[in-house]
Amino acid sequence: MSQHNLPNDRGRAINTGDVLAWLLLSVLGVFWLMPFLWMLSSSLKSLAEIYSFPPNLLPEQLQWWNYIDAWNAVPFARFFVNSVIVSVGTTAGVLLTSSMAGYSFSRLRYPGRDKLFLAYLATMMVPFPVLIIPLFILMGRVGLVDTLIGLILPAAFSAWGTFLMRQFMLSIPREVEEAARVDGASYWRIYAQIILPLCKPVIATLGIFTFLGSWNEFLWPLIMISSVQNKTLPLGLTMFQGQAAVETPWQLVMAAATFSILPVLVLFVLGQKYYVRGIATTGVKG
Amino acid sequence: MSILRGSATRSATRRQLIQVGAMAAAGLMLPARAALAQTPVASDVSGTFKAMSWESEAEMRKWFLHTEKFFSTWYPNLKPEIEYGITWADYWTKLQTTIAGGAQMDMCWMHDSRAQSYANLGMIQSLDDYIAASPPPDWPDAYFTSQVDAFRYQGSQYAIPYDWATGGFYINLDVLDKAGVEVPTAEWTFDQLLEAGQKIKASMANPDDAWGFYLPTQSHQVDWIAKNFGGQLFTADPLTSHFDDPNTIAAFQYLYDAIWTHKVMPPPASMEGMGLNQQTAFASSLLGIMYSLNDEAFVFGEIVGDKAKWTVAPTPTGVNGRVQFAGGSGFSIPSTAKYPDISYEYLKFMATDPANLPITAKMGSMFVSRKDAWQNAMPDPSQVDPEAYKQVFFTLGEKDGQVPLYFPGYQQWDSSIYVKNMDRLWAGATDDVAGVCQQVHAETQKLFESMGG
Repeated sequence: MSQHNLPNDRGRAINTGDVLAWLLLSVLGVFWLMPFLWMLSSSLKSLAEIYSFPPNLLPEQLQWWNYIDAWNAVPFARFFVNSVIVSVGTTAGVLLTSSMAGYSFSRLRYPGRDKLFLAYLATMMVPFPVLIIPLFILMGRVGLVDTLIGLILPAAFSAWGTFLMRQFMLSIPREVEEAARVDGASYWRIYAQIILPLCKPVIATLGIFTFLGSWNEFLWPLIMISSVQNKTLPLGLTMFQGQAAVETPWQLVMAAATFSILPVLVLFVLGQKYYVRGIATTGVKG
Repeated sequence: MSILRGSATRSATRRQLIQVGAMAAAGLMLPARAALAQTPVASDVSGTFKAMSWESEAEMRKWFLHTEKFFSTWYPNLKPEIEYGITWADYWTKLQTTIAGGAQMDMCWMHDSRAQSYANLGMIQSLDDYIAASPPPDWPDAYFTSQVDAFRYQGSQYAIPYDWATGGFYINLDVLDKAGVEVPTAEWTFDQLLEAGQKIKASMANPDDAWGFYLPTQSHQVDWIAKNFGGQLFTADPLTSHFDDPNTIAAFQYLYDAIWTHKVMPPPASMEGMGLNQQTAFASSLLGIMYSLNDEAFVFGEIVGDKAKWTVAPTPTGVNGRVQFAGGSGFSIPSTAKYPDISYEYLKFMATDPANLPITAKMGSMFVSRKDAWQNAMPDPSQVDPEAYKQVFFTLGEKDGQVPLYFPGYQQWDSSIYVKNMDRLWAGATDDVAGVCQQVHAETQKLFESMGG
């Protein structure tokens, strides 16, 4: 065995290519981590240090109070709660509607089913900015402007989610469903007790994608929400920014950005497996 | 006489206005809406008054002070809801969507760069009748003429200005001392500025990554430079492009040469590549002379810290005299206002009440819209020399300040024609300044023709 071919703990030989790949990936990892590290570093600097060149990654003097100042300047606790309500509500809505629609489009037989599915899928082609004004008028007519429900409801239906669920459900053997039907199970029971439990992986994937998307959503909340108490975290972060960039206390913005991503970070760590699988399954960029 | 001067004069004023309102109701010649503007407001009007602002949480505090005073004094049953903390770019998306969606919006912050577009689309209301019936105190003589005019569209006033900003130079004294360059004066020419820039660059430890001066290249900020060179970007009535004017081309040639021939001015991409912006370069003594607006003086103390000594200085004089950038913000009444009359009283109060002006000026870091209130907008002497600040931004600004012509659709023109073509110059992709200017001229004229002249 040459020195370039050492065994790893699984017994497979490690070759030079592996080492080079690890090195390259490590460098890329640090490169990709830089924005996060920079945010963390800037959150602990003074404004004068942020405007210094050459910049230092490590702050000269740690300004921990930036976090306290940022937290106290605007009601971040409220923004957190709102973001959680909207993200959880949207995720629950998308999972429910997408799984039901996916079940219908994949397992039920009725005239025009596939055309209906294609029509629904075609709604993905309409850019969201085109829909903003009609949707805003609609929300205004039903009295949902400046409410959290107004953020959840339009986002609770996802053509992409339906597509994802349908494709996964198509891969479940039809025999499973037929056996249940022979035993007298209704469509609802088959959906709830047979199909859904088998869809856990795709539910986890869709759930994580939807939650992250909703957590970071900016444009629709920007249009819909007008009161401070109903703002979500992305909107709350902009409350520090002045008309000119130089008037913005960037150290507070960075501190606020740091604690606003913590829940997402936790979610990502817990559901990393499904997130990566989702990317592999759907080809969606992370 | 304002109905909103203060509680001491309020009773008499309200009585007078009741009489005026009664006369109007009896059929005197005031137009219906103007009459409403003067009619004393019923203090029992109830509901929600909605407004929208781009101000940050910190800047908004002063407006809340004035808002609280206004509504608690005159409309205690009307609940003001002011949306704020929206970034500058997002504000316009939101305002346009809200008005287009027909949602109630009683008052909005307006900027001179957008007022004509919003007026042209019918999204904000003309204030002419209101002003005729109940003008702001000493209107318009006591207000900066350039700013009053900036909010006029087709002969009508669409906003009451509340602030006024001008451009000038920020001088890194350490850098200039080292280069043996004097602080610029208003008599400096653009050639002297170029010469100073070359000296500054040559004196730097690493001249390749340091610059003499920074001038703006954005369209609205190039306007004053073009005028100093005897050219201009556009004229109105009918809208005409002057990008083919040899003097306008000379101004762009000067900027191009400063960046690429003499390398005394940082190209935007090069600064970004180094992780810099002009403020950071200035604060780090990599830039000697930086152009910016007066409000930055209020934050420069914190940004520069003890890294360098600095002051402010005037921009140069051109071949046809001196022109300085001016601009500012105002308050408008959207077309979807539910309480337009109250809105007018409110915006007039916010922009012109003498008790508000010192607070507004101090917290807004801008000169307020009334000329006689300039002393309230002076920075702390420990930050910058007040005399220099007054001379550069107020005295010369009032004398030479001009607002660019922001025709309807200006923003669209800026992104689809100006930036698209001019970025090739600033990025060094071409050195054909005249050719690029001619291209901008051709496309701009085509746009103006499609707009009907």
